[in-house]
Amino acid sequence: MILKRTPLTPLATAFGVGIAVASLAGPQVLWAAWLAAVAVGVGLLALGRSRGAAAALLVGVAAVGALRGREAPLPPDHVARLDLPMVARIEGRLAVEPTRWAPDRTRLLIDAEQADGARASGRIQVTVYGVPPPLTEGQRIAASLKVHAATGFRNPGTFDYAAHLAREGVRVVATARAESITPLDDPPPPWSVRVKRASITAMGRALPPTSAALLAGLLLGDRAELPRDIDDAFRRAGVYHVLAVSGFNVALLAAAVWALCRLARLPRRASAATAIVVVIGFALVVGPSPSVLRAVVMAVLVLAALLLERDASVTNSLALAALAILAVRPGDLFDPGFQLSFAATLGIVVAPCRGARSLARSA
Amino acid sequence: MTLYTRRQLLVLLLLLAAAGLGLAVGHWRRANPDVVEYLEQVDRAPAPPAGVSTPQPGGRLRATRSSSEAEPRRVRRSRASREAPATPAAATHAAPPPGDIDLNQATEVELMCR
Repeated sequence: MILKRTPLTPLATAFGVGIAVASLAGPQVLWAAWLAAVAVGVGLLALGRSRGAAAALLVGVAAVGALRGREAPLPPDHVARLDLPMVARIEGRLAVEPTRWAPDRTRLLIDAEQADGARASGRIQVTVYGVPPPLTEGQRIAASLKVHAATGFRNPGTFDYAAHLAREGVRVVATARAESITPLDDPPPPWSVRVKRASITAMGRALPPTSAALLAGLLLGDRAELPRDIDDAFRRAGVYHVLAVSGFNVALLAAAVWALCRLARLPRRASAATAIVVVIGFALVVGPSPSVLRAVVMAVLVLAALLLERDASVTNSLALAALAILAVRPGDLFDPGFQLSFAATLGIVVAPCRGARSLARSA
Repeated sequence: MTLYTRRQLLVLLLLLAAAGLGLAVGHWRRANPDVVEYLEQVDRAPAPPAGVSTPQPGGRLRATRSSSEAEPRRVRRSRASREAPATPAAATHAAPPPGDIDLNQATEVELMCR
């Protein structure tokens, strides 16, 4: 029985189903389902009925998934509760490194702390026109922002930009002139940002500008310096995903570090530990996209199995990766990146096994 | 033949109970921010009046704490990180404000300056 070898698969599936149907039931129903599942599960286990207890467990996991997937109520001081649209002086901290989309356009993610002098919370995505002062992740800034609720095109069936932003924790967007942004402190950038900047600088020194920009996109997912025509060419050719960091990069890195360590005659355990550290560090540098998180969790599990001298099940690792990502970011279930990443990996893992079995039968 | 052994089921049910309880606490905290703030402050004594504190047996002096004592922990934490000096050494050697010296912990130089 394949599920016997992958005990985390039913749990991950139940959790995902719970998130998917979260909107169909009210919180009271879900809390009651969770409580009943735990009580019934423990009772059946005490009576020695493991099969019933397992069913109750899966129902309980689905209930917890649904509760996790439900939209949390906004705090009273959330910026989305302001009288939008409005112009406000916002003070807050940069949640991530600023992203430059064009020479005169930069995108910031600000965790608001004050709005017009009053305490505030919530994340705002700001598009800055002009060239802002040098900014870094974690820096506190103040700015006069044109704030409005996040919206998207209303064509039915098309990409829902507002829902996408809501999954990222952004309910309010804003625009600002670069001159209106005032840094309030000057902290050193986090080490992950320093590593990324140093890598891009090193590529810039070693290669012509276009090649360096292309390499930064391929290795670090940073496309800020990529010329517009090259960017468009990749889009038109349908190979734009090559410029995004994915699980492929993580797999290559883990394999390369493992191979180098083994070539240097390091023991297996030391090689696995080194590869785990490097892979986690890489994820921190390039950012937590679903495919990178999936690949990192899977790589860490496979390497940890080597470390502990245990067998590794790729399907089980995939299930645990899904469970971990959905537990932290339940909205990712509806993200095409998450769906494609997991579906493709599952196909790669499952299809060859089925194919090999059918070949064996026909032989 | 079931998916899980009895021990696995017991562990998983315990984890399920813990996860649900954690979620319940999180939901309750979001639904009652005022009560949470009150509860986070309830073990914090109000700031004593400024002045040189007297030693008390069996513990640190509360008078050495700042007036931010009455603030919620989250606010204090964010303020502390905001106001943190650029170098730790600077923080260690920074002179305390007049009238707010911990007699148990003050250095000889700080006592002389008084």
